[in-house]
Amino acid sequence: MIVIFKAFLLLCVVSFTYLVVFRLRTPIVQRALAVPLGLALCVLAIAPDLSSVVAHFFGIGRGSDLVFYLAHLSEAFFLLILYARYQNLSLELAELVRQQALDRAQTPAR
Amino acid sequence: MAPGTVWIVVAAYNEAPALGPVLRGLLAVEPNIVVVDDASTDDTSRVAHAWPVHLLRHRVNLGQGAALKTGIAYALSRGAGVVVTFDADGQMDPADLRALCRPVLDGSADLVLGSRFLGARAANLPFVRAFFLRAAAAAYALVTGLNLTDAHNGLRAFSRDAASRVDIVHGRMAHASEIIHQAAALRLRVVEVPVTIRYSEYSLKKGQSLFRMFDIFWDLIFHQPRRTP
Repeated sequence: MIVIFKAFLLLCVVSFTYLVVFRLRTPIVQRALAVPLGLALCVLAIAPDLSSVVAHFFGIGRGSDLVFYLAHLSEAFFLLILYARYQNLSLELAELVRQQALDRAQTPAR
Repeated sequence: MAPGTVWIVVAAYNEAPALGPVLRGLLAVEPNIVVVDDASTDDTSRVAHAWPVHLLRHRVNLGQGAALKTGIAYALSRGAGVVVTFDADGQMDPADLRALCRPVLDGSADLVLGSRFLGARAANLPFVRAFFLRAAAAAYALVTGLNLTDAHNGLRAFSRDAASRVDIVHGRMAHASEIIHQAAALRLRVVEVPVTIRYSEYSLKKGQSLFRMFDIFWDLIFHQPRRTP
């Protein structure tokens, strides 16, 4: 069964990396970072015990704990980026709507 | 246009039932009125169109703060000397306008805020709401140094200079706190005048929920307002 799960993980990592690098219009820096990250995740999917080696180096007991921490940190980071973009977009939308309202003002017929 | 020309900004979102009488009352006092229809889904625009007022329409609902900002920008572009914000739900009394604008017109204030607690003129104000409004005002006094009796009154008069310097970035209801914070930061001369707020069943239903007080205290703690449209 574990083979099926590992294959599924690999498929996910490879397709996400493919999306980020080739399909989404992500900045070049993000694409460059996505390749080593994707490779590292592939290695981890095949040999999860490797994460324990890195974890021990940082004084963390289990590799899965390290992965857990990093995953949550990066989620929070990306949420923050998305939220900032959303706020900027909202402000731009408001300015656009305001400008249109001002341009199309109906003055009273006298 | 005379330098002391008064313009009244009415931000309206789904206020078709109340807007007609409000505009009739305002037009009896002042001729220059801007209605900003904040993408209402009811007949707000049609009601406004029936009156000799300037009508601006947001295609997307942006919130009261954003609608006021649009209306203020329009009033300034038409040469307003005094910009008044007035609620569309019929709570306010056009008879208060003269007293509201006087400190701006005679040059003794940059921003005049209506207060429902000066002279105890709030009619039918529910006790709980009165308590929180007073608590908020007291907290504001501590933080901004402005000694206000009423923290969230939508009836205000800006001088032309104040209206062009205060920049509302809060789209939603928090613009009220934002205006007070900015007035304090810009060292505007702020005075309060007593105004009548009539609480009707309609206006209470439309009014802010008490959960808003959490927003108010958030604004107080995090001095810099959140940047939303």
